[in-house]
Formats: sequence, C-alpha cells, structure tokens
Amino acid sequence: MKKNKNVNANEYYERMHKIGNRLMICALLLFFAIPLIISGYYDIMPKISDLLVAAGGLSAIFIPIGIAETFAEIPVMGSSYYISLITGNVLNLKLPAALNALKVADLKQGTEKGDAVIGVAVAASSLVTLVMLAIGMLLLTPLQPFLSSPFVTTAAGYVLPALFGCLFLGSLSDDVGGGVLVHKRLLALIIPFVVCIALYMVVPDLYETFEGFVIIICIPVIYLITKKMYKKGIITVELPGDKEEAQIQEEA
Amino acid sequence: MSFKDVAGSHLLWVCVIVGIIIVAGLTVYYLRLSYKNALELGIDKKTLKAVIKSSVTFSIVPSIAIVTGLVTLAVVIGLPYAWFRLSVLGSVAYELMSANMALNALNLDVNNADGYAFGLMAWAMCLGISVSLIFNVFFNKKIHMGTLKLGGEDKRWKAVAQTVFMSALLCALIVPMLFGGMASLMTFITSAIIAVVLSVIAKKANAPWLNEFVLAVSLLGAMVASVFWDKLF
Repeated sequence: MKKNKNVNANEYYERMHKIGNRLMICALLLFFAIPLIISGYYDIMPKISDLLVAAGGLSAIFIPIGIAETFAEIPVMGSSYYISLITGNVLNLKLPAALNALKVADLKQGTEKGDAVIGVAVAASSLVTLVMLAIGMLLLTPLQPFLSSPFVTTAAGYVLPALFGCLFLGSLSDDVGGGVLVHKRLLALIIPFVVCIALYMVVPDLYETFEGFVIIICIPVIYLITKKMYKKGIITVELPGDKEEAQIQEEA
Repeated sequence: MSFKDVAGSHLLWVCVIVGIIIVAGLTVYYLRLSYKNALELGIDKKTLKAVIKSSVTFSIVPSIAIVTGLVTLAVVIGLPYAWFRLSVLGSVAYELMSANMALNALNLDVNNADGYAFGLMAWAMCLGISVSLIFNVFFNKKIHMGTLKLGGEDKRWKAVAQTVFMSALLCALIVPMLFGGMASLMTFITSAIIAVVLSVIAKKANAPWLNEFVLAVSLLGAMVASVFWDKLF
C-alpha cells in the first residue's frame, strides 16, 4: 500500500541538507585523517612552503573548476549532491544515474519525489563502484592483463559518449517527467549549442578543462532565451490534467 | 623510508580499509534514508526497485572503467591510496593529474622519491579537492533552494524553468563527445540507436521491465562498439 505522509517540501529539503552537511563534515574529517595519521606516524609532515608549491598549481586549477561544477550540478543532483561528492565520479556516474532514475520513475527534477529517487539511485550506484573497486583491488594481479588489455583501455576511454548517447535521447523529448510536457523547449538551446561548438572547435583543450564554467555561462543564457520564448508563446507547457480540464470545458 | 615503503605500508592499508568501510556505511545509511523518504512521499516499492535495479546494472560497466584507472593510479601513488582515492571523492582523471602535478611541482619521481614526498603528495591531493567540498558545506543548500524558487508562482513557467539546468549541462557536455573525433561521435550514436531499439522493443513487446536495462545494455553495446570505431577511424 502506498504511504503518503504529505511531507512538507521545505521541511524535507531542510532535513536532507542538514543530513548531507553532516555526512560531508564526516567525510572531510576522514579525508584529512589519512594524510595526518600517515605523516604523523612516519614523521613526514610536509613543510608549509613545500605544500604551497605542490598544491599551488593544483589548487589554482581545481578549486575554480570544482566550484563551477558545483553550481552546475547542484540544481540537478539536489540534496544528493553531498553523497555524490563524497563517493566521487559525479560526471561519469552519479549524474547519469540521477538522470536515469528520473526517467525510470517518470519524475520531474526539482521536486521532492525526484530528489528522493535521485538519492536512491546515487547511493546504489556508489555502492556498486565501491564493491567493484574492492573486487578490482583484491584481484588486481590476475585481472591486470584483462584491465590493461587494449580492448578494455580503449573502451574505457569512451565511457562518456557511450553513457550520454542513450541519456541524450530522453532529453530531446517534450516529456520532462511527472506527466509535464514542454513543447519546443529545445529551440532555446540552438544558439548556446552553436556557440559551444564554435568554442570547442577553437580551444578544445581549454573547453574540456573549464567545462564547468561553460555550463555556468549556459545556464543564464538558456534561462533568458527560454523565458523570452515562453512569454512569446513559442514554448508551451502541458501540465497533468490539462487535457481532462479542456475536455470538461468542451463538454460544458 | 622510501616513497614506495610508505605507499605500501601496513598502517596505510589499515587507514584505507577503515576509511572505505566508513564511507560504505555512510552510503548504505543514505540509501536507506532516501528509500524511506521516497516511500513517505508516495513512491511505490515497485518503482524504487526498478530504480535500484537500473542504477546497479548500469553502474557496473563504468565502474570497470574506474577499476582500469586503479591500475594506472596504483603505479603512481601505490595500491592502497589509489584504492581509497577512487572509492572516495575522486575521478581517475583528477587523481592522476593531481598526483603528477604535486610531484612535478617539486621535481620528484616516485621511483626514487622518499617517504616525505608521499606525505607531501597526499596532503596536496587532499587540499586541491577539499575546497570545493568545504564550499558545499556552506553553500550547497543556498544554491539548491535558490534554484528551486525559479519560476515563482507560475506553475507552467516553473516547470519549464526547472528544465534549464539539465539542458545547460547536456548542451555543454555533449559537445566534446560529438565533435571530439569520429570514434567518439559514432560511440555516442551507437549508444543512442541501441537505446531507441530497446525502447521500441519494450513498447511493442509490452515489456516495461526492459526499460530498466536500456541504459546498461546501450552503454555496454556502445563501449564494445567503440573499440571497433576506434580502430576504424
């Protein structure tokens, strides 16, 4: 039997963010604990000056990218972003898992139901990776010829197009989940998409490194174009129940 | 002690195993919590089982790709820490790049570096990625709640506005996949074609259960095909 305690949206999100924050703090303590224990025990604590040199370039690149990706991924991943970050591989595993979960459950992103289902998918996916890595680590010696074979290493290099190829189709549909249909919404993507292609053609390496920033720039641009097209009536929305309502009005 | 002595030390193994068990525990807790939340929100068990089944089956193949990264990363930073970094937090690309950048910054080579270099590298890798985690502690909720308010009271506009984020993500992300070479493009197309064929079969054969495996089968098929496309182009 279905249970529905009519959970208040704000209450739900408040609770999930609170839990997510606690998990993140636990994970942060854990991440720092290992270098701390090892450096302390073996007396190899790095000097601040050396650490600044070693981490300087790394931080200059990864901190802005990490923050940019955060802005781009949070709206889709919702409150499950904490656990996604903790278990890693967001772009190549957790994000596709989230998109797939919304599709399988026919739910809309940005709703509590969608958020809860993404949480289930992300956690299940994370556990699979943890188990696979544990197996891979235990069987590394016998598996090494297979894992290092040209077949596997070549295929591993194409994970992203293989993942996003099948996910992309779902995003072309008018059905955005939860019975909501948004007609002609893809028209708003034409200009940003063409600009992204041009940018990639000119500076492919920079584009891939700073993809997070490209997404961040795309968000307001697509938002504004979509809003304009919606106001002009080019993009239209069908909510669940619209057809029945129209039928009732017709009969009346 | 040499770099390799520390990188393969018993203490590091113990720390890593304990760390991974803790993270696995947190993940199991989160799975149970989300499952319970979903039930309370009115999502039926059948749908949730379908989501779990689909997520599990499709995650296996990309996880193998991550395991191949373990082989590469283990050569640089040793097996235990590579296992930890890939199980928790990181992606292969980041971990490899960050380990190499940290070592290169001080002209160190793992083959002749001392234990001090390991400590330095471990701390540098930690610092490089932790800032965005700390950023999330303070700003995740604000960003998320802010985006949920987009669209205001207009239900129709709100429905459209919420799609913008996913559209922006896909719009920017797929460009390198489509224009990063013929093999990448063909892998993308193969995956899409397999997904369409399977969805049509599921519909025509009235087999909705097949939809749970569309992603996994498309992914596997496209990755196998990618080897062929890679050779061809």
